[in-house]
Amino acid sequence: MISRLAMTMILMSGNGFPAQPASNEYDVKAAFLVNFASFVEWPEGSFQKPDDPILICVLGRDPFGRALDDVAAGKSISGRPIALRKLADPRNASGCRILFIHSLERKKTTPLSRVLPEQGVLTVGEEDGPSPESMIVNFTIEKGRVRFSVNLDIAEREKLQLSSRLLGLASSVRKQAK
Amino acid sequence: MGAYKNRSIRFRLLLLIILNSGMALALAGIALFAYESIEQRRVAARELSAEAGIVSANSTAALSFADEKAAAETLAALGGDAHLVGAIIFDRKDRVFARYGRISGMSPSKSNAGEEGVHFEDGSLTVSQQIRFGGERIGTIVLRSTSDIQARLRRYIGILFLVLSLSLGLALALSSRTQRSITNPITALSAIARSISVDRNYGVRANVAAAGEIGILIDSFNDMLSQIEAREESLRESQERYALASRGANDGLWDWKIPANKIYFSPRWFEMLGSAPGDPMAPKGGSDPDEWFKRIHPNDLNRVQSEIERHRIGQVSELVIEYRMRHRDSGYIWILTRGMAVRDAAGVAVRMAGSQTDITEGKVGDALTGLPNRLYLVDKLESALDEAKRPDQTFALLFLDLDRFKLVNDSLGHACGDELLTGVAGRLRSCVRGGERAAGRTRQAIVARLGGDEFAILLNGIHEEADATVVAQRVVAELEAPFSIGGRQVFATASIGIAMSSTGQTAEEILRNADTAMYHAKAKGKARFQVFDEGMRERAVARLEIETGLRKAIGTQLVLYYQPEISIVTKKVIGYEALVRWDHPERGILPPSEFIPVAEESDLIVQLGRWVLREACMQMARWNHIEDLETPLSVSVNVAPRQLNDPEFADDVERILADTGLDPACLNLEMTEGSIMVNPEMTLATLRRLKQLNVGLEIDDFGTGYSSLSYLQKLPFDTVKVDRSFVKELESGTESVEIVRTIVDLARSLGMQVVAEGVETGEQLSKLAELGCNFGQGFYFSKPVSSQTTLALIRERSEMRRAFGKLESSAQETETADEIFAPELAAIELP
Repeated sequence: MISRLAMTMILMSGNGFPAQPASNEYDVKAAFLVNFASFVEWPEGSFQKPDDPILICVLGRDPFGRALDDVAAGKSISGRPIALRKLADPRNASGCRILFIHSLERKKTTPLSRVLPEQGVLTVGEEDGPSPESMIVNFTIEKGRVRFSVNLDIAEREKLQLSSRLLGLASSVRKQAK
Repeated sequence: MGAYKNRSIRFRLLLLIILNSGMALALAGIALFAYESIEQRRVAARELSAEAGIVSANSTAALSFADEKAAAETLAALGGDAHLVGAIIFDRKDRVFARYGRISGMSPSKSNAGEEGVHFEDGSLTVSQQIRFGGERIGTIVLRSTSDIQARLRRYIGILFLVLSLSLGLALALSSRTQRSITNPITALSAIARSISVDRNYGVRANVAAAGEIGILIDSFNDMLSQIEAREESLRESQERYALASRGANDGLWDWKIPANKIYFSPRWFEMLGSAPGDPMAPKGGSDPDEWFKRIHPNDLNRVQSEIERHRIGQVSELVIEYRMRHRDSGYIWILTRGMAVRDAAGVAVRMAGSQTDITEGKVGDALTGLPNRLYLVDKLESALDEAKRPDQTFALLFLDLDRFKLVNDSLGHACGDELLTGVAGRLRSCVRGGERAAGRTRQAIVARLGGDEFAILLNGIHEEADATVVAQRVVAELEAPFSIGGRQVFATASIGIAMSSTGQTAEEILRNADTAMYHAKAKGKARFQVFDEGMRERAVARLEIETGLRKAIGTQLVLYYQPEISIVTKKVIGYEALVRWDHPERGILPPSEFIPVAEESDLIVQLGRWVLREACMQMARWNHIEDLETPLSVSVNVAPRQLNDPEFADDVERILADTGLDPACLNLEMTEGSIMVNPEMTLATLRRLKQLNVGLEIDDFGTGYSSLSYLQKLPFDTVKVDRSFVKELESGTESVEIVRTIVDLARSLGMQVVAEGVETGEQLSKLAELGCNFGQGFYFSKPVSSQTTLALIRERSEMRRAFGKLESSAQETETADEIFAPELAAIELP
């Protein structure tokens, strides 16, 4: 209930695209979250139909307010629309292709990968959130700007292909030497 | 333009070629440049657009995740393109997202960053391209490059200019070579033409080898030069010839500029008229025409001026005129002026030029005798007449005509005739000189030859006829002595007429009077002189009247009379002599002596003689036809000298005989010795033709002529008629008897018969019978009677013979001539 309220508050204060650091942080993160869909290839069978939506889920506290809805509205990636869902329990994350976990949901997500009902979910967390090492993408703040790091080992485990261009933008990429 | 026109043809051709090829090359250059410029831009735009595409693709992620740094790095990769000025990436809200290089002043609105496009501006190329990702515009990339198009185009222009210049140069070199083959001959030709016009040397020829039209031009040019040269040569020759000729002929020259009315006279022109060489003669700019006209003799002035006018207006093709001009010292001289007008295109005479020759010598002198001629005499007569208005300046004119000069000329030849004239001239001159001395005072006398055998002597200062007759007597005496010509002694007497200055007003009148007096002298006999009196003029006028009257009378007022010719042996009429009479409307019947001499002076005698012949033949033919005569009668017709010498005379006779039907044997033609001697060769031919026609030929007045009897035998005569002067003296003188006897003997030996005319007495008749004369004619038998009387007599005799028969006819033979002709004598019509 509290998270819902906060989210509403944030959304009320949000305005436009969060391109500048001065913008609301979560406006930027919302846009990033949607844009990640463009640079990820999900394993086969992740979608039944070519026009199945890409489902973006927010686990626990929703910091975006209306920002995520605004970004996703009317947007389609490779012919697929964007759908949003809020979750309280990771076990209900079935069908989610991108899962955002707010930093305050740390306790609920340990260990998240074990909790998730299926493979092929791009997990996105925050650096001060629960076990950032277990997230594929982690938002960071550098010099007041939103950046992100990538853990390729997890992405491989989850059988996700990340565009090199995405990787080129990541502030750091973790990958175990084999 | 004027400067261009004056340039040489080579320059102009070159300029033309430069302009043409330059223009073509410039157009080609502009087209190439335009194409290249467009192409360059297109290529540059495509390259820059491609670059923008790459940047756009590489910056989608950066834009998606607002990673300006990454975008800036992507843009930095453009640093390899040296021409790139700068690049900007705008985000979806058209805010600058990333920037590279020196790109400034570029806002999305200003550069239309939100739209795609290519812009060229100020030598730079700007490409805007949308950055799309997932079907969505996420930003705009704007690239700007200093299009090196300008530099490239500059380079291109440089190369193009070089190529075009080379082409132009090549075209010039080639066309210069080809045009030289055209212009060289023309240039050479024009150089030759100029040198000819400067040097006036038409001998040069254009030695230029060329084919085609220029070859023809050169050939024609050379032909033209040849013609000019030939014309020049002939002109020069003719000018030289004229100059030489006029110098040689001592001619004066004149040249009249008609519009200015000034005449240039050569120095010789003035000298000829007595101006001294030092005199100021020809003023600059020419003299007044009056210099000429004021010197012309007043009597000639009108003639000269009208003749000049006639030539000026083109009535006569050349001015040729002889007239007198006053010489400063020696009165008037005779001048021959020749001239020719130069006309303009309209035919108006603008200039007239010619020569002036002193012809006084030839004009007033007689080439044969060296005496002055008629012209000179007339001139002097006129002067003398002017002076004769004063009483002490009267003069006399003697007109001389040599007697029978024609005979000398015809028998001895013209050379002898000329020699005789020269001799006579010499004696006349000496007469006059002698006269001057004898008179002891200065008296101007001029001897002139008027032409032919006519001379004249002008005696100035003669007041009395007697003084003139003294000179005339001296002339007659001087001419009595024979001239020795061609080894022969030739006598040349002269008949002289004298006219005093008081008898006429003009020179011609005086001359005519003297001439008239001379005729009178000649009519009285040879070697005589006669002074003119008014009666002579009247007679001369009367003669003129006769001549005009006679002209009308032929065929209308002339009638024939007939005088019978009697056989002295048989006492029978054998024929008649036809004699012409003029039945004058006012003066009655006129004898031949009144008009035949007048007719003989002109061709009237030919016309008259032809009429007489035709009339006589016609009448006799009719009479012989209608009257049943025992033997046909013959008719004798006189032939005048001019008739006989008419080349058509024999034809006339033949035609008349044919027309009238008279038996040719019945026609006798009578002619005098003199008429035969005029032109013996031609007369002989005529006589032979007449003889062939079987016409009888008879010599009239035989014995009076002076031709030799031996000549007679060469001529085909049948009959000789002894002149009445011998018959008349038969009774008194023995000389005449001997002459007649000789004639009869000679005639008989030549087979001719003899007729005696002028038989008036029985004694003469018996003498003639004794001498053996065949026929007689004369008043003793019958006077000439009219044709009606003649016809009546013929009829009467014819009837008598028929009435009395043979018996009568034998009795008639014994009758005397008196008895036979008594009735006829009674019937004679007096003239």
